[in-house]
Amino acid sequence: MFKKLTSKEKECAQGWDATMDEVLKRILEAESEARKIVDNAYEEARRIEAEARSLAEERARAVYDEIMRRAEEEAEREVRKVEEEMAQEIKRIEERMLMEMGKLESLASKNLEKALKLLLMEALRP
Amino acid sequence: MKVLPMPLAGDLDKLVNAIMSKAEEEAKSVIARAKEKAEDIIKKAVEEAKREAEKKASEIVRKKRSEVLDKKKSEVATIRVEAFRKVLHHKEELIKRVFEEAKKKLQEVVKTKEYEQRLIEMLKEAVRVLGGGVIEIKLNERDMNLGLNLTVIAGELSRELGKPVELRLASEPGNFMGGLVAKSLEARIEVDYTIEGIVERKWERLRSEIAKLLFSET
Repeated sequence: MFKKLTSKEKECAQGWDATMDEVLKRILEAESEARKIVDNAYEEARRIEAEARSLAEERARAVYDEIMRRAEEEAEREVRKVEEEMAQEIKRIEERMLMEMGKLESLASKNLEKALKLLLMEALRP
Repeated sequence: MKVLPMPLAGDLDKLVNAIMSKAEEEAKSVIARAKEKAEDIIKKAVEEAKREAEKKASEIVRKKRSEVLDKKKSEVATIRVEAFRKVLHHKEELIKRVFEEAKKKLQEVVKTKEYEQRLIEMLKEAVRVLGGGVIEIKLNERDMNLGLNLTVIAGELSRELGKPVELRLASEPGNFMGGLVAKSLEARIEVDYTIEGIVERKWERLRSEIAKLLFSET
């Protein structure tokens, strides 16, 4: 069925096989190298992501702490502001009270004689 | 290593280069996506932390402000009430001062003839209230020495009332500023016309009238 190869033909066929082996070997090596490159990239991506998660946590904590610190400061400012306003209000109340007392004193001095006259008159009238 | 024929070697190099280029491209893309994702992770975490912190911060400020406001409002209300109480107390002191002054003045008034006349009028009024009869009159020590003629006064009252009136001066002096205490010995009724008694009975009305007069601006 098959034609018997001549020795020359045999040598040629063997050469071709060897060449094809070499080609396949180079391709497989290249693919293996390519896979390594891609695998390394995925490995690097995982590392980047892990690092990002750690960094995200750190930054989030820093942002949170900073906002809370500012809030505490603002709350303290609010407390001081309210205290100052109330101190002013208390001062105004005390001033008004003293003014009112002074006014009463002055009116009482002015009207003392009239009040005395009424009281004396009534005291002697059953 | 087997040396390949030149045309085949060129094609193979191209193929290998293509495989390597594709791998490098894919690697670059994987890294780029990873970097993008990393940025996104950081951005989202920071935004979430910011949102949560701002919500909590606003609650802290609101709560603190509300606490201090409530506390201070209560303090101010107490001070306002205290101030009002002090003003009222001062008013009372000024009214009391009028009474103290009046007492001093009364010491002078009771030495006058006008007072003597007033005392007789008070005595007559007391007898009218008791309806006559035998009446004991209690005066203070000074007024006992005024020498009131009780017989004459009793006569006048007897005529006025149309019934007998007998006035007896109590043996013991009364301990009051002025005025008198009259006691019906038959009916066992007593009327207190001492200055202290009169002022005490009129106290509520007098206090209010004196306050009105004392603090009037007109």
